[in-house]
Amino acid sequence: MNKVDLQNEIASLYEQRNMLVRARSEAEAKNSGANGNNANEVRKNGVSNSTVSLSERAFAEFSKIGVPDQRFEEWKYAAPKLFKAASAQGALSAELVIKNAMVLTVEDGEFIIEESSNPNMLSGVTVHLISDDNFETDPSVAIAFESILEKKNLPFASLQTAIEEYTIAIHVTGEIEVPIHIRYITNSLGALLISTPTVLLFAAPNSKVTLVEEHVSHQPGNTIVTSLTSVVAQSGSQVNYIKVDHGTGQKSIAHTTADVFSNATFNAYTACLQGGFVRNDLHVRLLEPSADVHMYGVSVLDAEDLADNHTVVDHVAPHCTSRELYKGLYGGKSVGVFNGKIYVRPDAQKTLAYQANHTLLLSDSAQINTKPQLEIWADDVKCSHGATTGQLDEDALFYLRSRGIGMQAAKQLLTNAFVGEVVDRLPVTEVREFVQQHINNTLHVTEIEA
Amino acid sequence: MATDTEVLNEVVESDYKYGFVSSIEQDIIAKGLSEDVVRFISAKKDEPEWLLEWRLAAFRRWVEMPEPTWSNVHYPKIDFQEIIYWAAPKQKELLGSLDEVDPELLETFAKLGIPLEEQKVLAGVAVDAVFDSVSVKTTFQAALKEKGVIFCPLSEAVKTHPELVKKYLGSVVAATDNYYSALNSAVFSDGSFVYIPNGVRCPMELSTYFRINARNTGQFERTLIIADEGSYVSYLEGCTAPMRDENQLHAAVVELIAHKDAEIKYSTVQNWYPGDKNGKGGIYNFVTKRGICEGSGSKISWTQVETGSAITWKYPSVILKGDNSIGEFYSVAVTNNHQQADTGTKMTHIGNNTRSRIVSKGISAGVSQNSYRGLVKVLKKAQNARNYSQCDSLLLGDKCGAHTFPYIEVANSNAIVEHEATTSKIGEDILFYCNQRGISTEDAVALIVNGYCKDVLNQLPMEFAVEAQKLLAISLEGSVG
Repeated sequence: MNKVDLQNEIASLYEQRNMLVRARSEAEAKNSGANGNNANEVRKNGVSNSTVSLSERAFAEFSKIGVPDQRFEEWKYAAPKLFKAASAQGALSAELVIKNAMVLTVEDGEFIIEESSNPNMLSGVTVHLISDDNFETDPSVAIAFESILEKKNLPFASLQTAIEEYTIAIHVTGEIEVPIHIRYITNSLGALLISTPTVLLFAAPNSKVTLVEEHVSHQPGNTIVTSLTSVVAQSGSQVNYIKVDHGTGQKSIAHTTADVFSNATFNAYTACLQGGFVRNDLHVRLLEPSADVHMYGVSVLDAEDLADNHTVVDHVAPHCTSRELYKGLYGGKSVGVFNGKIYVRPDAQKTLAYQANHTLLLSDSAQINTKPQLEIWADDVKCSHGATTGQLDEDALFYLRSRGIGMQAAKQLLTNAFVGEVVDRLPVTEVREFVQQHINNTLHVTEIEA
Repeated sequence: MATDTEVLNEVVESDYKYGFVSSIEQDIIAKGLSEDVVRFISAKKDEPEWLLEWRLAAFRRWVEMPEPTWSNVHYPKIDFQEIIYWAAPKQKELLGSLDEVDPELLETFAKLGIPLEEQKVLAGVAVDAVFDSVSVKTTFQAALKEKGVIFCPLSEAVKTHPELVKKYLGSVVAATDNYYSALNSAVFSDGSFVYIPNGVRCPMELSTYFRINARNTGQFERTLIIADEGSYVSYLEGCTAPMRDENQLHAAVVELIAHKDAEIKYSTVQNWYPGDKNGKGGIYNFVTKRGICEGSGSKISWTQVETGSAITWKYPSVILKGDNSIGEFYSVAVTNNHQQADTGTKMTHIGNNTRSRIVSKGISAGVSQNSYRGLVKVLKKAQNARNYSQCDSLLLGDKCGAHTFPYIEVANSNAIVEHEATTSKIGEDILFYCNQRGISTEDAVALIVNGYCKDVLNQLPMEFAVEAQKLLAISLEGSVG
């Protein structure tokens, strides 16, 4: 596969979608007669001639950048690997099972009702599938998409907005203790690009919810899977968002956007556990005072894996706090990328922003590219970032060994402690154990060099 | 023609301001850039054929290159056909002594504070003064000659040491490296050439003053410094420029080559005209500076204090090729009013056991924008590389911006790379503490700023450090309370 193939594929997917929409709207027009053209202004497909449809605008936005290549700054390190055939080895990864969780399954881009929980199983949570010409049933959906389109430099998010056919809207009104577990499963071997349904999570004021997003591939292949999750955390709400990537040789391009309002907290946890090519774009806007965001990430890579974490924290309102900690263990010939941007707007005084990225390279063929970025337009702020790349502390190793702990065990202990800072924070026990298990497995097979 | 005395009187009576224009007769060609202009410059300087070809190759490449726009600075598009590419003070017969130099020219140097004679005795600094484009007077040649040090205008070195120039010119910054280096390679006017032979410790600090003088003439200097095995040299570069309304382009190239166990210390105080309070005028300072630690155990250290220029856009870099080599970058960049700066460094670790250290202090005031952009790259074969970077930003005022874009690319598992950055304003509690002890706010800010920059200022040679401290105070005048 190469860039031209992918571009052609995208063009044909977009054309297919448009044909489908035209056919549907013609059928609809026949049914509803001559004056059936009413509330279409907000419709995504824009049947009305007066407005350019969201889909068209999104596609135009995508076309500005197109399929990114190395020259596109945001894709500088990931683009060269995008078209490389995933070389998946190793055992099929374990299954992540979360007890009592509400499960939503998306397989090869289709929502699978049979493998999903009853959408009404939790009180305080409603789940709707919204076909994209039915937006008027849920006005917040249109607003959420507008917000996504405002974010620049996300070509695949725009693309997904343009070509997807339906959206999963989750409204949370109460304090939900049971996690919602979305599984994206890729089995396909043939397709070049699969666009999954967008997930919109609306957390009502003072609500609480945990969303676990799992990306797993059972087949090594070239299929690129794009996904888009958009969170709106209303005032006083608390949203935990956990994203786990595992499996054998998938190519996942995932976007998560969050709009956080006053006194709300958005906690994002990202775990990249092998799995070929993983690109995460996490964009958070702090829109009202006292909104907080915490972002934690851990990447444990091996073989030819690539994990590219791009985060943006946009401090729009004053008195907001953002904290970010990403840790990486890179072995084999893997490539790790971290690009964290803190953007403080002129009015966002009294901002506290902290960002750190720490990496251990476990092999001489592994690579890390880090770019912690600060863009500050307000003066009364405290922003800092730190990035380190290195090895295990020799003094600490010596200390352990002098107390009778073997070299390998000492290294594992220290490495575990290194990633533990992130892993221990994972709020769902099953996920924490799952990630820990993965790390343990990796450490056993990877020989760590001092 | 006026007698010397009349000219002197006129100079003495004229308004003495920081910004002034010397009206020395100049050799000027029509503005615009073409192959003919390149040929003209080369012919004017009586250059050998190979150099002309080199210039032309660079020019042809430049024509095809797109103008870079990725930086975080904004300015109206430069019309390269509006620039005069050659302006040299009218060349006289070779001068034997100072008396023969145009007195007005000497006066101009005096205004700039470069008393050629006095400095010889007092400061022990040899000055290669670049007045617009042609080096006029080089002092201390004799003392340097004794040690075998070559310190002369590049155009002279082309004639006297063609083998050295041919070998090293463009070896660190290739003619086609980037848009502005290609432009410089095509039309470079003159600059300094330094060669320190084996095992020689240069007996004095070498210094050059650049000066942009004639209207609308871009300056395209090229500096080439070669430190042979085991040698040491400290080179100072300081700049002032007169008031101007049009923006002036300055696209210089500096190349440093340090052989085995050699050390080059390059210090800059840049104080060009930053434009007025409303952002009108000012210099565009688009410079390519790069050094290579060619041999093992070599060291290159960049120190810069950037207070001037409407736009500063440069990344003094070090390629750490030799084993055990060291690269350093110390920078203070101050922006006030409408100034913009996008500066930083690139450290490329290639050899084993290489070390680099980056200390960057940005200060933004007024409505200025100050960006740090840096790259630390550790190649796969570079064992035991070590880097420490610190870039801090200080914000004075709520309309300015401070940005950091550090790139870290590591491909070797035993590299240790650390980077930290902070952005903050001067704490009210600190100001209050000073006020409480009878220090006015303005003084307190100067005190804090100087303390904040100390790590960098300490790296400057003595006479520069004093100048730099004053500059900081002047640059920030009126930016607080």
